[in-house]
Amino acid sequence: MLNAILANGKVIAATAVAMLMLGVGYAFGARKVDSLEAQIAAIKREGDDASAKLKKSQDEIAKALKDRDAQYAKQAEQLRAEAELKAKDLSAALAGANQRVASLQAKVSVVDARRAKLIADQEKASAAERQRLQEQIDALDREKRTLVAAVDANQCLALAVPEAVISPLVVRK
Amino acid sequence: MNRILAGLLPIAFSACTPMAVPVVKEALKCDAPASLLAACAEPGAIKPGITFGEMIEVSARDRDGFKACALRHKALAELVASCSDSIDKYNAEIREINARNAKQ
Repeated sequence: MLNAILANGKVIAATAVAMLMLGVGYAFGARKVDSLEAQIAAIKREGDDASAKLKKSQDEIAKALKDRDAQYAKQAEQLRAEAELKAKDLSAALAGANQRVASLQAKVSVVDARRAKLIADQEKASAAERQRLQEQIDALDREKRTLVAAVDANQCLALAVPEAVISPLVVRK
Repeated sequence: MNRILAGLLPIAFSACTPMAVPVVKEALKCDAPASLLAACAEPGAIKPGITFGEMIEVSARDRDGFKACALRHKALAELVASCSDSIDKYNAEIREINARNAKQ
């Protein structure tokens, strides 16, 4: 009986000590805790705010990237379509060089014929009339020079670029 | 007795448990789309004996390649500037937060 009472007394004493320690621990741990907790809570709020700002900024960047990429894709497609069209036109223009040369040479022949007739007319004309015919001949000469230059330019397309000029640009493997 | 004390000690010191405060460490990412990171096309090859006509074709293709490259470069430069603005703005906000925290 006495032993049981003593045993219970030990448990009660141990519980009391433990409660005392709990109280002391709490009091020790709770020193200035309220203000510290408030500070920590404020810091946590700021941290959460910063996280939200990070997400917002990242979302803004993602949207800017997506929008600019879409805009670029549209512009690139437009550029590609224009380039394709121009390449076709250029190819056709280069392939049509011989035809243009023939057409220009036919015009040169017409000019030559007209000039020859004016020269013949000049021989029979009066001095004043001769002057007028000479002006027409001069105009035909100017027209012919233009036509011949155009013929030369078209014929030039099929000529090789002089080696001295092109060799600095040639990539040799 | 000792076992009871050992069991009660963690409860007694529970008031000392630290509170986790989040720290923002991540930096903003600005990954440009692959389409804008593509390399520019090489200039067309010029072979010995090339004609003036062929040279014009090579030049035309190079011009197209240059335009495409310039367009891509412009888009990429604008993106970098846009990202830089966003990062500057974000950093300014973070500096404000840090300044407020430092006062507390």
